[in-house]
Amino acid sequence: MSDLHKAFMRRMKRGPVPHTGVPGAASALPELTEDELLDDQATIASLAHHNPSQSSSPSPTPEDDEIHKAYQAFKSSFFTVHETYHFNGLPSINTYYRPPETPHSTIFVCLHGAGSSALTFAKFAEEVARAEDDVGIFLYDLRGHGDSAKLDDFGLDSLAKELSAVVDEFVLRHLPASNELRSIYCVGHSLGGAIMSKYLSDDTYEHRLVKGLILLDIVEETAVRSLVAMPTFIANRPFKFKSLSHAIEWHMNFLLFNEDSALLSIPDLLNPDLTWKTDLSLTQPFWDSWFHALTENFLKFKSPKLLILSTHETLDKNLIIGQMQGKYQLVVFNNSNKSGHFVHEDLPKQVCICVLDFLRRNENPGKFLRHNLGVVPKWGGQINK
Amino acid sequence: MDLDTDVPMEDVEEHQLRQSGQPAGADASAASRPFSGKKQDLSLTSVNQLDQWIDKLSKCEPLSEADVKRLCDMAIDVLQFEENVQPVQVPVTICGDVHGQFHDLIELFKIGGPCPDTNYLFMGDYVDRGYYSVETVSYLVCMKVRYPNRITILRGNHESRQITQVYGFYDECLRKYGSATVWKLFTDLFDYFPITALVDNKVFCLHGGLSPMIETIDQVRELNRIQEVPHEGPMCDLLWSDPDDRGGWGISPRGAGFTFGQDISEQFNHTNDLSLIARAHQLVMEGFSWSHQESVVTIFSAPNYCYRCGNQAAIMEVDEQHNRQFLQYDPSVRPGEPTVTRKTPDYFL
Repeated sequence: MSDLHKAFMRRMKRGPVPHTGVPGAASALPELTEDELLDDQATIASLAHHNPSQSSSPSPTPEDDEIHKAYQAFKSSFFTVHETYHFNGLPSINTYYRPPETPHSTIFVCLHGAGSSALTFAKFAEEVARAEDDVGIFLYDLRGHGDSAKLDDFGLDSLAKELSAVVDEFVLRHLPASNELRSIYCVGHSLGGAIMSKYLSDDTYEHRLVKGLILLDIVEETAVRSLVAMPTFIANRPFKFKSLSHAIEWHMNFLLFNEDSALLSIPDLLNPDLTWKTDLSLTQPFWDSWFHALTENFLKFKSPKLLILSTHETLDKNLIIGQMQGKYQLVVFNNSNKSGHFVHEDLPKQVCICVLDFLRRNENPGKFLRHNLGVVPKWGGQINK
Repeated sequence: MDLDTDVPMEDVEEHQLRQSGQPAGADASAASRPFSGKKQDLSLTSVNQLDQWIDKLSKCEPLSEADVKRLCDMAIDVLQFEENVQPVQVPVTICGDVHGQFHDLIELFKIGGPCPDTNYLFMGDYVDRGYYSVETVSYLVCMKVRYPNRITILRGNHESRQITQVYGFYDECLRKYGSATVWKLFTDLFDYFPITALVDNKVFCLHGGLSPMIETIDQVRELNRIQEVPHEGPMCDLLWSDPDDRGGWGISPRGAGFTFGQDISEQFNHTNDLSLIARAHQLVMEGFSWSHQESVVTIFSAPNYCYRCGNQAAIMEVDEQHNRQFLQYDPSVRPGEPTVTRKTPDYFL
């Protein structure tokens, strides 16, 4: 974004330009306030002050202890159900679940991308819990990620099979037998979105409870093209960090833009000796499969779909056609220079507002129109799903 | 073409010798207009100026910022007097989305015949996605001011401050003018665009589709349209809704507007004594597409949309006897077509 653009956006934030929202443009969402901007600047300044690369403090630092405690406290208190699922022939899977308050409420099943872990959704989950909607949230670590067991088969079909097994097990354990009324909304970031699209477009899997699909910053064409640069990225990233705070700072330099999120997501990526839990180079032989037919799979899923992109509108041909035929909802967060590929970490509140609006609109259109938009249809009968 | 007293303006070329400042079409219909103030005739100087601008824009050269300012001021003087349901006479050629594909717009005028010899009705979405949104919208607005009675330009959902910041027009203005001034001028002007048109009381034309809040065309006339396209409500629906194979109203997968079934279209056409709803908004591979047993037609006028979708474009001619004819066309051939280059992110797993 040019300086001019930034200056202009600042003026837009202050200025008297009429700014009612229109779907499709994320500027419809609450703007950052001046205070929030100042807070962010202060955070960056304090981070610079504690720049561990300029000190020789041994690990773990007192600061690291604080980070680690807060991370552990979040893991154990926020998700009241923390279970490991064991399957025949599949690796054991680490799961987190925060149930809704009433037994018939909707559940978000969230799946992270490659090299990430379930706790990439930590702040998003907090925002969901804070909203007045009663929505449960279920997360798990992919094989070879976070605290799930390792298995070297990272093919898309295998990962979709794993997702199917995890969702079946989750439904068995936590959704009562009279679960026909329940709905699950799938939220997938990056590779997680590709796995969910594969799972939902394949009718050999049982997914009748899934009523909606939300993809976070993933487009087939862009992803495939970007993979070319990934080996260099993996080769150049640190093998090991000096400290947790250094690891957080490293991510904040180019990948993440919200320190509150990074404080919870980054500790989950590292072993106690501060090496990576996930060996990304092991996944390389499977990259060709990951994003193959993603657009086709996404469009094939007949229920409501939402695609959230972080910075630019980068749709590929079939996504453009699908969008221009009104097949799904598209939201692009381009009015903020504080979001990147991990849009749900960078802007958890805005992503949460988007996703919950999508949920309300599609779960109960009549109620959404009446309560949220103040609209009562004048003719032609009720509004169908 | 006979002059209709319901139409508050007359073509400038027919009146350029009138004394400047004399109200045109000052008659009983003025009382029913939604806005106060009097329409000023264009002076001969303005006509010459407009012809110069049209000449320049025909070569795909953008106007200067100062000229855009003058053009937008002149256009507000014209558009503020148009109605929410702008009456249009036959014969007329009805066109859909253009989306900044300037060379294809020039092709459209070759296929359909030059304006003002042919009357045109455009149903919105002039900007975003294509590379020449500035030239496209400048050209159409120039034509509108120059031949106000020969061309009607409706508002699409992309004629909005919010949407243009995401889909290209805002960035294009920054790139071509070095500031957002031109974007501001045009998006302020968009608020004045009429939102629907009624061709000979029989064909209802709009960008998107129907609204559960709007049962009669008179209810469209009651709206206050001079505002940013709202997030919800009747004006939003008119610019966002889509016809659907399912009956009744449906929640729109787009997240705005509604889907409407054949029963809804038929009831609306019956209630309002219409023969057809003509709309744009959706990409259709043949350039036009019938729905709801020919009670709704979709027209899309951007061939090979985004320079990559491989679709045909079409326009619809409606003659004095209300016969309809579709003209389909492919992308114009031109040298130096910009290739679609997209930024690759540094990280993607």
